[in-house]
Amino acid sequence: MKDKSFSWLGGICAVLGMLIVLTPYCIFPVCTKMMQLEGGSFAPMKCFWTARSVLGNGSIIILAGIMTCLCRTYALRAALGVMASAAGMVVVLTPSFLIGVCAGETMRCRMQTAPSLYLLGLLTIVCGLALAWRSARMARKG
Amino acid sequence: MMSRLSPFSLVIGNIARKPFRTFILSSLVAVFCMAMFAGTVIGLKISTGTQLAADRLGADILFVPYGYEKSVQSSLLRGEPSSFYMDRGLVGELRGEKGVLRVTEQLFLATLKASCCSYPVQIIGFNPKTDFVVTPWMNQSLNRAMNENEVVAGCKISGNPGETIRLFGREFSIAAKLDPTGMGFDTSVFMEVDRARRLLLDSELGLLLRIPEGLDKSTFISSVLVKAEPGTDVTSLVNGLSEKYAIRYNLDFTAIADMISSISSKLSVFASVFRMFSAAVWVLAVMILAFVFTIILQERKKEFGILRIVGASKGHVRRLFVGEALLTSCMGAFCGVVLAALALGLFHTYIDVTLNLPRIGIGFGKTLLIGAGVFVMGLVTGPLACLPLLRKLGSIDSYLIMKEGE
Repeated sequence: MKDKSFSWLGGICAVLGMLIVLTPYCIFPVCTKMMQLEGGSFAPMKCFWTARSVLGNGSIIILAGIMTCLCRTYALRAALGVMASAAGMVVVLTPSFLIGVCAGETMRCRMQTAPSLYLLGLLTIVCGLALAWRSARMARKG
Repeated sequence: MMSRLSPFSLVIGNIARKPFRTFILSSLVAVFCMAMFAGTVIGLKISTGTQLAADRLGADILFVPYGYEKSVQSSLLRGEPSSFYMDRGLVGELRGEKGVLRVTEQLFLATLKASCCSYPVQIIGFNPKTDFVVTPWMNQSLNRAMNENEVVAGCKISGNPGETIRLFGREFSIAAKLDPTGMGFDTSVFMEVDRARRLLLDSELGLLLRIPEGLDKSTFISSVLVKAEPGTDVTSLVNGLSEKYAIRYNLDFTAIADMISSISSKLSVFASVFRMFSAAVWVLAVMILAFVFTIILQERKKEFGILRIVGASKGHVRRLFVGEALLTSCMGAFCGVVLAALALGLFHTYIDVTLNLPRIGIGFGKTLLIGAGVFVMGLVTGPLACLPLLRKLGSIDSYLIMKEGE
């Protein structure tokens, strides 16, 4: 059962999750200004909500990564891999489809935050799938 | 059941047995490929993209108020909003000059950065009767005159034809969307020059914008674009016109080709540094791999000796060694090219804005060709590094090796 590759993959997942959480707040922060509505009141923009959603998904990925390093059963590791992949997919879909980012092409949330999230999300999907595939393979071998 | 032993399965097995070593060696090749791919793509973009932008602009000479040459560059090439004004009298005077084929004026208005989502937009007022710069991009999307409250939006402005857009507190109907140009036009809004001037003067914000004292408020413009007659030497035309009008109108004169070539030459230094860095990484990669393979060869002498005893020829052992190097390089080269392509694709706007490049891609075909070239260079890195060791590998004496340490 002592296979270092699981610790590696789990560790990479946790680091990717950490980067996903930090991207919209520290690394490439989303826009901080408020949008003025027709009635005159102010409201946060799309990218603010994207950042919130990504914070949640990133935390799930961190948890999946840490759990992979700690748990011992292959079935559970496979499930954690699938969970990390699914969360990675949501990270990709949030700025592109589910919520979106601001409309201006040269605004920093669109120019920096969203591409970073796509890249990190894709890497998480690959890492999670690799984890699930390796766990399933090891389970079959017994 | 045991699987059949083949050179390929041996290569795979050997690589899988040392994942950390494989990861480090592949990473080295990947870093080289990433640097090489990014450097080549950005270098090509600098050399061809800026020239293409000049060709697409369609004008040969640009006249702007003194001190605003940089602003108009950013505005035309990248759509960064700016406002500056000059007298319209120059347009009429230029029409009579020898070597001048067409003259048109433009008026630039920048909306204010009120909040993040109502981001600043460049409004360009143009004269449909004389224009030869904007109209060619509009011909397919609008084949009639624009109404008073109609605008044409660049392809990246949100909103579709028929919808409304709010500018300076007024609603305008989008008559058409411009074809993609890869320049600042993509993020600009176009309206007739007189309408744009009235919009500026009527709005409260007009007072905040820099309209110099003494300018006729009913005719001021921002820039004049000139198309030279075919066969005319643009540089001597610019020199002649600058002598005549520069001081009188307080102007900055620039030949578009010169402006573009000055941008290109500044940026090509950056591209050269990038290419030198990738060449250094490649040499370093070959040297490190050669060093690591020498150590590996020392470590695995017994293994190769056994292979020779069980019947493997010198060629088989060599192929096994080169095969491992090739597969390691292959993984590194593939990951490097894919990651670099992904990063360049995702961050293209950020790169263009940071390097002040027009947003013109080099095309999928060229990118694919560069990717393939870099991949092949990465692929040969490993085998090239183990070439000096092949002779040594062939001279392994199985009997002496097996006797070592007894």
